[in-house]
Amino acid sequence: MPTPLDSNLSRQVGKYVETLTHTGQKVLDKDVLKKLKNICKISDGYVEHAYHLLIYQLEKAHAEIRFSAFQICNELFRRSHFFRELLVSNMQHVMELTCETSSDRLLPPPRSVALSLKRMALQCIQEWNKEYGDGYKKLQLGYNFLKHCKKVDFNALQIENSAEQVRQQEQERRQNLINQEKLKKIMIEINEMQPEITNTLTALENCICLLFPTPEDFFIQDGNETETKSKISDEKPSPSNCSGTKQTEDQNKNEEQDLDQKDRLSELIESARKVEEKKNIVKNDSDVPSISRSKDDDDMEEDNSEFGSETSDSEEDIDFREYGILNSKYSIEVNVNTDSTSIKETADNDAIFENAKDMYTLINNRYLPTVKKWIQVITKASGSSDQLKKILDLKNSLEKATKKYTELKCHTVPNDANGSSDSDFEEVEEKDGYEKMAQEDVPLSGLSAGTVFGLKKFNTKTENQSSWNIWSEDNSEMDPTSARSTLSVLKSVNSAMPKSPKKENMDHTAASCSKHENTPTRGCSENEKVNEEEPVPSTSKDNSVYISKESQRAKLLAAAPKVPFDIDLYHWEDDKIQAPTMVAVRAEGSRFWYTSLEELEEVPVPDGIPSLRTRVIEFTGKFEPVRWACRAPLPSGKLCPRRDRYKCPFHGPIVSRDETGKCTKPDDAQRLAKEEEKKTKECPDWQDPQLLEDIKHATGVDLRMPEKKKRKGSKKKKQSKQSKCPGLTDISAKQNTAYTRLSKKIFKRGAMKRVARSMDAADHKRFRDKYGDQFHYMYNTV
Amino acid sequence: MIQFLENVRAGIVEPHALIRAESTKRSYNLQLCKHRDIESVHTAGVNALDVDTMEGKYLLSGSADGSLHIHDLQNFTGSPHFTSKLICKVDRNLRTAHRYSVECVQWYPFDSGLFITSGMDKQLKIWDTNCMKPADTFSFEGRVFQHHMSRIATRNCLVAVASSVNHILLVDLKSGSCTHELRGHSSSTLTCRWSPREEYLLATGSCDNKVLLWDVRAAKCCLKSLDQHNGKGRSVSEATNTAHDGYVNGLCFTHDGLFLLSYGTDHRLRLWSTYSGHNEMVNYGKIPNDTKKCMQFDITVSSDPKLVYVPSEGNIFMYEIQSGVKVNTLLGHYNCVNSCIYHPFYHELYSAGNDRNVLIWTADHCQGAVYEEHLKSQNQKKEPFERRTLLVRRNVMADTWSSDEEG
Repeated sequence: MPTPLDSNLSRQVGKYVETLTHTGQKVLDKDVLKKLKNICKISDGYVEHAYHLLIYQLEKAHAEIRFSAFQICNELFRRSHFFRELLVSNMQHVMELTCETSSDRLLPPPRSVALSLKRMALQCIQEWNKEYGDGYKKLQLGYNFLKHCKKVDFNALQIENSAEQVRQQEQERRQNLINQEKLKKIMIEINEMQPEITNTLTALENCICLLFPTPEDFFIQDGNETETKSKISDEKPSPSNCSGTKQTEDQNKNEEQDLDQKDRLSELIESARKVEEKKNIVKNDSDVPSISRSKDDDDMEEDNSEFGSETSDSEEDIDFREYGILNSKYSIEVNVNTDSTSIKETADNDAIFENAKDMYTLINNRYLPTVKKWIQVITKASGSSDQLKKILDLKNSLEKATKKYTELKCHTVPNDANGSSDSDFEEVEEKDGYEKMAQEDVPLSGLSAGTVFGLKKFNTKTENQSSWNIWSEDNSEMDPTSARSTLSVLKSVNSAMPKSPKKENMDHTAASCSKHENTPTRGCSENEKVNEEEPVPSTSKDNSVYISKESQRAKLLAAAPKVPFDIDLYHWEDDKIQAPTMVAVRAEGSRFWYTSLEELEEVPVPDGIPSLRTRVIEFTGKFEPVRWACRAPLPSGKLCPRRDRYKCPFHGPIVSRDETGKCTKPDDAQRLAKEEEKKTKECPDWQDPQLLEDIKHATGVDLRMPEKKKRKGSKKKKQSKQSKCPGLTDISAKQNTAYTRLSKKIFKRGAMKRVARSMDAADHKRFRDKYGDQFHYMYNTV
Repeated sequence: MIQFLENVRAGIVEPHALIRAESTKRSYNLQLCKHRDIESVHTAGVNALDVDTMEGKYLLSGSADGSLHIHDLQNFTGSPHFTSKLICKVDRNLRTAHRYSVECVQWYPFDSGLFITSGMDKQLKIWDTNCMKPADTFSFEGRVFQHHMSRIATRNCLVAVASSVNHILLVDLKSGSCTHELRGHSSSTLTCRWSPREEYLLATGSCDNKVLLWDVRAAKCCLKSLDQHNGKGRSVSEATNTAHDGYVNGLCFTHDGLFLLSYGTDHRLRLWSTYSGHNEMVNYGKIPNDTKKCMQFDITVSSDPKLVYVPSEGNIFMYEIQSGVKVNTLLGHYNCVNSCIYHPFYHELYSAGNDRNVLIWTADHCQGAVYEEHLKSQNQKKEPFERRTLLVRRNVMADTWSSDEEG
């Protein structure tokens, strides 16, 4: 260089480079960079100085520093020829430092920045080569070296170790082979299993069809009948309706129709007396959509209920029965109740059920998993698409079948319940008409039994022409013949009764939601009234007698907690419990080995009786996570992150604090300050400063405890070191992982020695045990 | 130079002096050649180079994948910008090619119609250049690290072979058989060199840290074992003294055969006098060298302070032989340099390394100017389009500081 460098400027260059590289920012500070460039512009001497400084920075083991340094290099490279020459002459070193060209000198942490550095460096080198390549031979060489030897794909900008690449390719190839092999195997398997699966599928489908005919089947079969039925229903609504459904039902045994009759109006009793026929809310199966439609109005939507209620009021006194039809304004609501539709399991279709169940389990447990596995393998091995499609179709059909079956299943009602209700029904026939109705209703509403009974009941009612009101179906609980009531009777006669009025009320209100009486109490009273008015039914009177008593009881029962059955309930009324005994284990050891029976004493188990009397109740309260942290300021400057509910073990009771850790309530702050003061003042009496002073005076020994400032000091030192370049990621902090801490402990010299000694001792002992008695090894075993 | 020529013409200075001065100047000023290239055809690192001694026209190179290439170095295009073309090659997939890495190649010193190669497949092959087929093949027990054939031997055709077996073998090309076994090393031999002065003098270096001098006429034992301490070290006996504290993996005689340079994995270069066998105690400093195979380095031919070019990892160091002063470092390779060869006529250096490059190092200082002139004259003939490229070229080399206001 022709002129000596100004030391001041050189120092400035150093300063700028230092500040630029230690910000940790991805983008260089423009002003500082401008200043640096201005100085470098003066002479090549400064450029060289900057170059050396930059190389020094590039060599630092911190990716962020290197990143910034390389950015400066890029800036200078594009400006100065001299810098280019310098950098290009040292290109391999720079590449090593920025592009990770040698495998044994990896880029320093943090890894993410290192990767972006690599990317940027490669990009820069590519650009440099494009712009300056023909002026600088070595740059070209370097570019070619990266491209050909290091296999850098400058489009993807990634250095891939060639060995790694080869390895990956090899692995891929092998994986491919394996996949192909698998695919072949699976193809064979598919070919074997497909007919089996399709057979199973068709079998299950047929089972389902048998149990639950599709609407098409239904209509094809019963096309004539439904027509006639609908014709009939025009003239004679309810009986024909029933008969029609009954017919269909008889033919399709498993076809279920649930005809519910519900009262809508408050005056339904009167109307029942007059017309004897109210609105029928026919719960119909979905497969029989329009067996019973409204006679005149075709709209039987939900709003009909209100509509109907109004009309019924006005046309109460007209006796439509004379014309064989109900009032034209009446509508019949058909609730297509898919939930309660059910198929009953009988001896006839038992086999089909069984069969279907087997198929279902087979499909669910075997075929579906295998098909899923096939799909996985085929997609992995990139098998032919039509094959995959075939398998997917198969899977879909399997899933459809299982779904169908599960739907069917939830419609199905176990056999015995139906049977019992059947028998109930038979018995009921001989009883009083009114009661009979009520009984019949029980299984219908409560257990959602087959339509058969609903229909029959309806028939009987129409035959008898008794003034039975429809809501009485809800009296089910009161009926002694119902399953529920019988159950309750088993416990106590009274307990069965109370439920019914309540339920009745509820149902009543539900039914009359659009009507004038809404309150349950009123419903009750009305019921009573109605019942009193009614001449025929005697049981309903009994009802009313119960009601006042029972309603109270019902309330109590509603409030009473329900407890599952347990050992304490088992012994509830057992006043004298035998304490459980156990056989005492004697000193000889075995409890089976005894000389005579007399010796076998049974000892009562301690706490035996109480254990039978107690009930273990697990806490079922809800866990609420603590939503606040302690946030007391720590010496590190952070806030205490502990989340305690009431009290932090370090900072006492939780006090509300703001973001900076200060107390939000002044009195809390005061209290804390006081406590703090107390704590600082407080010292053990042997540390009493006065006393220590005296001792020191007398003996010359300072017994004061050293203050615990050490930790704080080191922290501060660390911080100050960090604060020198706060932008940089702290690499050393990362070193302090659980692994390093543990390894520091484990691989401590002392610990290693100790372990080695004990292992040696163990070895020695084993050796001695084995060979110690042999003459040969006599001297070794000492 | 012009002045020199004038003086030579006037008889003031000897022609020798001109040669010496010019070659010295060139060999001191070597740098990466900007205008000339060796066509890059190598598919693996290049292990060995040789330039034929008769014409200096052909550059032979052997790669780590077993292939051989021959480039034509002579430039008859009239333009300084030139790429040496590949004229023939032995592909590694050929049946006749070396199966593993080629470690050493050498032209037959008296004719470019023959060359010898050897490699890790334990074979030494003698090739006929004209049909590019091996004329003869010798197989050995060990992997061959280096072979050498004397440049001055007129009466015999002996090829010395250093292999992973601990004795040196001498192959006689005339009889086509192995004639001698030189036993003296206790470990695998890495390098061997014939003296360019004494027809029968052979120097060998080995993994047992020794450099032995042999007179092959008396093959019973070695002539001398070189001692790095000149007998003042701890070991007094001939049998235990060593030349290096590590493997000896490079040997080279000076052109006049008076001195021998040895290179070892103890990161040292040592100069020996072949006359006395003494260590000349020249300190070249530490030269990083870790490869456990033969390193080929070369010494300038007719320059006055002789220079040695030593490959060390990715760099090539230039030292003055007598003083040990490091003259320069040639930076250009991106990976380890395996071989340097000095062209005796052009005063150029060719170097090859694991980065698959063969680089030419020349004293470009005057050629640059010539090239500019050449381009100018070309431009006058050609269209202005060419001129633009020239301008661009100049821009590439220029500083592009932005103006003051921009900073």
